[in-house]
Amino acid sequence: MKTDDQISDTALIEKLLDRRTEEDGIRYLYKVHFETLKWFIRRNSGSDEDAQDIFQEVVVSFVHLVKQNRFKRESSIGTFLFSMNRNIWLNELKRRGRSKEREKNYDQMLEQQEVQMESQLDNREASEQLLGIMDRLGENCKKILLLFYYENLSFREMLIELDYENEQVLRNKKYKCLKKLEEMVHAEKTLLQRLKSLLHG
Amino acid sequence: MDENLPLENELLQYLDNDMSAGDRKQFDERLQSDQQLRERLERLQLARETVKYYGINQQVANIRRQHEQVLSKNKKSGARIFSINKSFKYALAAACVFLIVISVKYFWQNDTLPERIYQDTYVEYNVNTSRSQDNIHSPIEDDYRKKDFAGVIRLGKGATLDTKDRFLLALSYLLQNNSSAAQPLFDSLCQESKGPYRQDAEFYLALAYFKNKEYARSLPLLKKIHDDERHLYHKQVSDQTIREVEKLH
Repeated sequence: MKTDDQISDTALIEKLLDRRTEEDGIRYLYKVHFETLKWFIRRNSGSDEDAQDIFQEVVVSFVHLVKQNRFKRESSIGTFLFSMNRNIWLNELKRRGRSKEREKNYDQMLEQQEVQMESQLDNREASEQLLGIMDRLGENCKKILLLFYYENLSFREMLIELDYENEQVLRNKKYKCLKKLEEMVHAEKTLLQRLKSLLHG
Repeated sequence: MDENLPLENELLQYLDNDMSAGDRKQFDERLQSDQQLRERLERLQLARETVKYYGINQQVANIRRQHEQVLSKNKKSGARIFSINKSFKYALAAACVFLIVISVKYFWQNDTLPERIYQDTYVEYNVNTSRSQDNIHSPIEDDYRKKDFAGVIRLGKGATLDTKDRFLLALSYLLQNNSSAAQPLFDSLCQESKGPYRQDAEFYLALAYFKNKEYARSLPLLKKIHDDERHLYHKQVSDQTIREVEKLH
């Protein structure tokens, strides 16, 4: 039975797609799904911090999928998140080199997996690398690119927040920043494929 | 800006969806045939998605921090509530003990204590030690001797009775827990200054008042009995009896 503040998967996806309501959608994911997913991680050798880390990664990946219209709705959001959480966590356990028994369990669990699971599940390192690249980009460039590509602000709107003479100067700066980022991404030869997989599926 | 700036501008416009529908269609056609251009676009798209992914991550990280703060706050307030509850439990337990003591004391004073005083003070009237020496008994006395107090009351109602029968009738009322009916009978006997049952009546009237929780009326009679060493019932009314009745009073 749904409580008054429960929303349908469709409504949640709409929230996540709209930058103005995206934050509400993410809060909702935390409110409704965090404890269940944390329970799984705690039950499988994880700590509270592990649960928070993995859930953050799950939510980021899920929201990114939704924004790219790549969430195929083959299962409910709850089921999808649970599967994503489980697989990311089991991958993490594997990465940490836990016991063979656990790996055996991991393989068995992967076989049981039925919901849509895309390649981003094995991309934790790629995600960390990507975040590292952005942090190295510099605060100014990062802010410009975020305002434009994430906040979806126009150059006119961006001028209110940034100290540039006019829109054209800002436009040129944004181009330079994107180019710089592009070069940085492609300089990470070993991770390029992983990034492509992470970002494009 | 590099020498390919016009193309770069077009790529950017395409990437940023800043082209007219017509230009976009033309650019799509160029992309179909130009592998290098397609690769160039993919690199920019990857950079753009990197920014978007980073933005989502920042947003989620911010909400995560808030979520952790709420959890931490709840945990602390939960602990504080537990602590308060624990303290409260002790306080409540102490209050309960106190209340029980007070209640017991109150109960003792208002229920058990009067009953105990009554039981300690009461002495059964032995009709055999009656001052009457004859062996002829009235029907009331017969019933009284048989402890048929209800029979005594039945016989005594509306009848003209001698002093002894009135006394036995009053006692029967008292023993039948009808103090109110017993009181006027005992009282009338008390008024008979030279009556043979005056002192008996005083004592049992005091008990009748006492049993009826009329401590203010009982106490003077008890004190009188207590103070009068020659009273027939003097030994029945101790200092402690007076103190306890005074407390109740």
